[in-house]
Amino acid sequence: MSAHPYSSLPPYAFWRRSVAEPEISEVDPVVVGKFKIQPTDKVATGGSCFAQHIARHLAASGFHYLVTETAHPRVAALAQAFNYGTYSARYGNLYTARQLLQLFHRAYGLFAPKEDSWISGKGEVKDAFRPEIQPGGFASLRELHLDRAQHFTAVRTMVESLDVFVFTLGLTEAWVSKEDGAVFPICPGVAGGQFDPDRHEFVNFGVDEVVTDLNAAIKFIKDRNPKARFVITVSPVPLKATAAGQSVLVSTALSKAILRVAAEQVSTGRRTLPTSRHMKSSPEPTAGGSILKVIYVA
Amino acid sequence: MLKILAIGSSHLQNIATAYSHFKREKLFSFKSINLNDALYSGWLASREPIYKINSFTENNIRSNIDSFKPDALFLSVGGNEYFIHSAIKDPRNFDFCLPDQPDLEIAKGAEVLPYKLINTFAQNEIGGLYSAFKFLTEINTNVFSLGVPPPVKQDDFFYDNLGAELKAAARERGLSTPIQRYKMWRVCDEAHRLWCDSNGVSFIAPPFDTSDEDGFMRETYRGDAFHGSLQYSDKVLHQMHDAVSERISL
Repeated sequence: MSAHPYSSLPPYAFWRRSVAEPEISEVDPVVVGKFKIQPTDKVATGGSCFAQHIARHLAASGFHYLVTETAHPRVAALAQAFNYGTYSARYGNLYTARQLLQLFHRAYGLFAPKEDSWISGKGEVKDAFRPEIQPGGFASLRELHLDRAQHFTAVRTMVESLDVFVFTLGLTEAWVSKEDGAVFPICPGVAGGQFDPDRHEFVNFGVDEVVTDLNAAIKFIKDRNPKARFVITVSPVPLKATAAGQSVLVSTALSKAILRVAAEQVSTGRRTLPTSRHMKSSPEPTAGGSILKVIYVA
Repeated sequence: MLKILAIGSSHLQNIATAYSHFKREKLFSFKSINLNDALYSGWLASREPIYKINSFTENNIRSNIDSFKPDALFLSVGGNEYFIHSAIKDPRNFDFCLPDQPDLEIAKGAEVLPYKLINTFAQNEIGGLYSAFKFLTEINTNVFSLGVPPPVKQDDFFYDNLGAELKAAARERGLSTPIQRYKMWRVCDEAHRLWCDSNGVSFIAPPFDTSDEDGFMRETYRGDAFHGSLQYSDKVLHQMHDAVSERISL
């Protein structure tokens, strides 16, 4: 038998030996990371809801989980309910790369969306960009503005002091303001505000847009914090619903594929490959085949 | 003659003193159980997972009710929660906005906490404490709870009338602003009202004419940094009489 390019490849290059045969807990597709996160590295997190698990695991595994917006000690028992520590700052879920970029722009005073708060019939004031950040919303517009100013300070502190930023891409579908392109985390009307087809429109970001936004967000951090390194992950959580006029299964598969390709392009282009100490994966059966479920275990 | 039994601590002590001082025996027959007495030392048996009074105190209250047979019971427990959280400037100074007075000043440099967060915190703390006395509503249908005297505005009076330990803390960390004291009093007052409304207890607000247009205690009615004067307590005695009379006449 003649030698060929596959004959000298390590086991991880073969599906049977590295995926099909090992116990699922032993499957480790990372193989080798570009860098290792040290316990002293300040690790910040953000992204779609799956990123909350990463934050929890980081904190529970002895890493230095960076939180720049902490609950006041007097009310520490209520911190979780009010989303202190869920992420490094109280920005809530950031489902799209555009949302992340706009968060940075807003925090640094480079973007001030026109539609930035919603007031319910009960008088509850919601932050249009983190409508579920606390039970019952804010008590007044002034409180929202004061809280948001503190929040933006915490975001700036995070950007300028983190060593590693772990961002989890979650969605490509989003609802934006027709007026200025502001991306809402959830469709107006679902958890606050009122949907208005004249003011709100549906977008489904493609690979190029995700890559552009993610690269811009990374550059934004690097410009202010040159030592920053990045871990990009893709959430395995399926879409709750799609507005793309097709099966949610098809939309989920497409979204995850777009995000995975975008993450690859960003990581290879910027040499910030997805990495962690261990990465475990398991095939999650779906009607149409399997979606690779990626779980990072710090 | 109406018979009233009250259970409480330092604020009740003032009310009992006013009862004797102003000779209000004609208003109603009064008995007070002062939880600050050595007899009740350790009356609060636990705070976690729930507030609980010890069995000695509960049995003592029950036997006093059995023997005195009051027409109504009054609670004046706690009351210093707002004071604990607002008298001295917190090392991580904080402030918040009241929903109905959102434009009140925010203390300079203070971290702004969400009102809902402070409100939930106060409800847990105050509701927890009062819940330890919920058994009273099973004994007597006329249970009232006395609101805490409004806060003092004047910093010099406030400081001069603090205890030695708090004075030392104030010298080290400074006082909270009067507006901070007012806001914390409001939040605790609302939590107290809410607990009463939800538990079949009638809330008795501080006598309305004892506070000024900004909600602070009028100078005539100041006792010390957070207690009312005897004049204040006398007004409360009249409120107690009127509230019970009205209830019984219904």
